[in-house]
Amino acid sequence: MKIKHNSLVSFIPSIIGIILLSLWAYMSKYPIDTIGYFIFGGSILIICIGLYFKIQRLNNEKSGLTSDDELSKKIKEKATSKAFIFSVYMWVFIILFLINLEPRVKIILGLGLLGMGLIFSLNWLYYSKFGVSDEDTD
Amino acid sequence: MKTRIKELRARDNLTQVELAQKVSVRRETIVFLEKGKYNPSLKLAHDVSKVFNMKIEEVFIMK
Repeated sequence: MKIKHNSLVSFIPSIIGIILLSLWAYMSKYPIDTIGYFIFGGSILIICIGLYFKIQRLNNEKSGLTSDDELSKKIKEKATSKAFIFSVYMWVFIILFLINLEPRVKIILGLGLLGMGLIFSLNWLYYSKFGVSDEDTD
Repeated sequence: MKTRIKELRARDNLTQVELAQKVSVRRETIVFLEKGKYNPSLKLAHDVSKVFNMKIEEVFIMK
């Protein structure tokens, strides 16, 4: 079966992300601090998880299988809903505690957005590995 | 929920990929079905049972 054009195109954001991160690390005028390492590491983790799913999708299409079915859609829905709940808790934590420790709003917002991306990616990975049960009432 | 999919695949000499192709799902979905970790939709349960020429309740066994 012909590999769908979309599957190959979906690699482009990951490649752009890797290039931008590399440029940021290489061209940074100042030494990277703890927050910088966290941002860098978190971004790499999100990109790696994204690449894992894209490669899985590509392998499915090479075998002549569909890349999206009822289970994959259910997994995405479950991961999204869980990620929303965890993200709300994360933002409450950031606003209550972190904002006093780190006064730079840009850093706080960046960490929050990165956190949301990480939460979703990890939830997606978790449900892909362990499945979604109809009896799951969490 | 228990399933007899693995046993029926072996009987009919079907791989997970071949079964997935017949019912238009991913291989991972077949893996989850075999482990009983996913309750399929009625349509998918019907399609899988049709592949093995059996009734739904003979392939998918509710505990």
